Amino acid sequence: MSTIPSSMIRIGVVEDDARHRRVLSDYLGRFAREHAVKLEVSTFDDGDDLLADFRPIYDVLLLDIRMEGTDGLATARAVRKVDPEVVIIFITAAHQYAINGYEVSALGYLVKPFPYASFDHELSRARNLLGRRDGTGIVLKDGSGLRRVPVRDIVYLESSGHRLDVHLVDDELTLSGSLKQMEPQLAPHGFFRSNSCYIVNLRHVVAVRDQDSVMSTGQALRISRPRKKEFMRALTEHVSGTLP
Amino acid sequence: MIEEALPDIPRLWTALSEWGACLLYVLATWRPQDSRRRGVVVMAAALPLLCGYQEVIGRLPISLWLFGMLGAVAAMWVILHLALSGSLRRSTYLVVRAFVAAELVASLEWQLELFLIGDHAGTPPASLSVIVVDGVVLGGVYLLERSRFRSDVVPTVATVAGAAAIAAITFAMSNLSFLSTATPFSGRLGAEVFYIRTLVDLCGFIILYAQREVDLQNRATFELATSEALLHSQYEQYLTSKRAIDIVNRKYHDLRHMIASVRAEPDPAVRLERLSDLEESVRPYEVFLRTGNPVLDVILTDREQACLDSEVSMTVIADGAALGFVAAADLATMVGTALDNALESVARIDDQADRWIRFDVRARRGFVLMELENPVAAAPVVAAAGDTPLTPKKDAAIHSFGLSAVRAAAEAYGGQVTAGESPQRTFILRVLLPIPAQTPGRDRR
Repeated sequence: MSTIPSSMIRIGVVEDDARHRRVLSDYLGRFAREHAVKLEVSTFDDGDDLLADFRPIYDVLLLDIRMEGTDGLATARAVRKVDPEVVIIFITAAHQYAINGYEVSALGYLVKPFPYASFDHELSRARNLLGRRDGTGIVLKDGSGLRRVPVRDIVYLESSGHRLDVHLVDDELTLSGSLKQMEPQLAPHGFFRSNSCYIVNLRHVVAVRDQDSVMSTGQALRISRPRKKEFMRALTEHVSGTLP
Repeated sequence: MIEEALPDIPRLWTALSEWGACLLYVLATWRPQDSRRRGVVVMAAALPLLCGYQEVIGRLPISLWLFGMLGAVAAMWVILHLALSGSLRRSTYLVVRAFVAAELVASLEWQLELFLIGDHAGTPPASLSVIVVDGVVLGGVYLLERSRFRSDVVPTVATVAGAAAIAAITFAMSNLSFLSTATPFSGRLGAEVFYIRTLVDLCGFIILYAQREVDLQNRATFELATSEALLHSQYEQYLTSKRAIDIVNRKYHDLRHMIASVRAEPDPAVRLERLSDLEESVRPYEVFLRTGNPVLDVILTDREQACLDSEVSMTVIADGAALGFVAAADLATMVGTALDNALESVARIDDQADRWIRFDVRARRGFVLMELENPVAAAPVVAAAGDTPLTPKKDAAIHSFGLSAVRAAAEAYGGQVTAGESPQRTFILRVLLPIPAQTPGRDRR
């Protein structure tokens, strides 16, 4: 997928069992080789070790649940106070299910002893998520020249005659061009052409009411009837790809 | 053009057969909720109107003949629609059948009339023959059709389109000889063309009859699958309860023994050890997890036991509280059915490492997303474009019923279900539900 960043991924491994640490570092090495991705791995013996001098520099944290001292869940809670973005994956021993990963917005968990395939699957999901999350911008050309606009700031585009109104979270731009020209550029970034006169940013869709998509800014934009099904499908994919 | 010696069906005769066919379908598809008075009024008014209409178009030049016939079909459509007050689609389906029946009976009657009374055909006394033949044939058709239409008619768009195409082709083929003798499909001898017309109309009618038959059979199959799925789930529930009761019985015996041995133990240290053994032995029976939604907890705990039995590892990250607006029965349908399907599919995988299920429930702004992922068993089970997956198993009907049950439940909440195979050879089912706005006035439409 084109959205996966080719840059390095920083991974923190918190595991008190030396044997499991070795398994994890083997798996991480194999993952880096197979996916041709650069990983920077920092290893910690337990939660306290990680939290001692914690800075929000990690992309992914692999957290063992059962550890002496601060356990995985408590560690995750402490991490979340500082870093709401990091992707957390728990590692648990079998029959230790009674954890609530949702509470700390964990991506998932791996049950020991897990095969490489499960590890690969989970880390790939994490990588996908990171790819979608990056704050890419889009270059737009308005009257005053080129301007780079972060994707998340665009609410929707509206065609008006031969011009396009780009509705931003707190601003509005007018450019020349057509939705048809913009569509291929925007589609990979979670936009959807919901109507002959709108391209909406799926991030900003907060509800769907009958035939309208309700945007975070409060506007209700009509979804054309033949596109409704495809719209809902795109929205489902988008929501699933950007959570937690 | 047709030879002058053999006149074609008088217009009035056509009108009578069309009216008769309308009457037949009104009677055959009559439902108790239809207004009797309205039916009688419409049918009474329809007879002179149809006769008048046919007399008028009979005077038009032959080039307008086709438009005249289309007008007659439209008139029959209006009659059926007014008399039966059903949906547009239902009326369209019925008019197609009525039209072919009318063509058949008119053609057959005229053929018989010519044969029996020759030169007197078409004269006022011959109308007796019309009434007798039309009455007998349409009466027979009524007996045939009545049982087919005992259940309410709700044809699909495809059925209606198919029926309309059959009727159009029948009509075109049967009347070819009357428009031109210069086609490979036209009869050239006088009386023969009438016979061809009757035969083609008969074929058209039989095809329509067979179409209805197939339709009814398909519906019966679907109903059977539905009730089988219901029985299946009841049986599963029975097994679950039985399993629970067995466990309780077994544990009761174990516990009695253990309590007795603790009681008999004089050494306090050993006694403590026995007590912690005892605690350990009941630990697996605590609630699997607490998601913030008691219904979801029960569903998951129940399936967790089944997962343990078939050595499937299930991981759950669920914001159950976000599903608070979903009724218990619907949640059981959506999550329970989806998990059962996944479990059944995964349990068939040989490699234990591939026997896993991931189930997530997450809320994001105005939506809750449920996501269920599991590895795909041997054969790919997904239809193109992520629609209803096709299971290679014999009980495919039950499975696709399962998915359509999930879909129906989600759609009741304005939700969307997508299912399909991911590039990583896993099956992913996603249910996106809009969280209802918390307005006091529930429905403001």
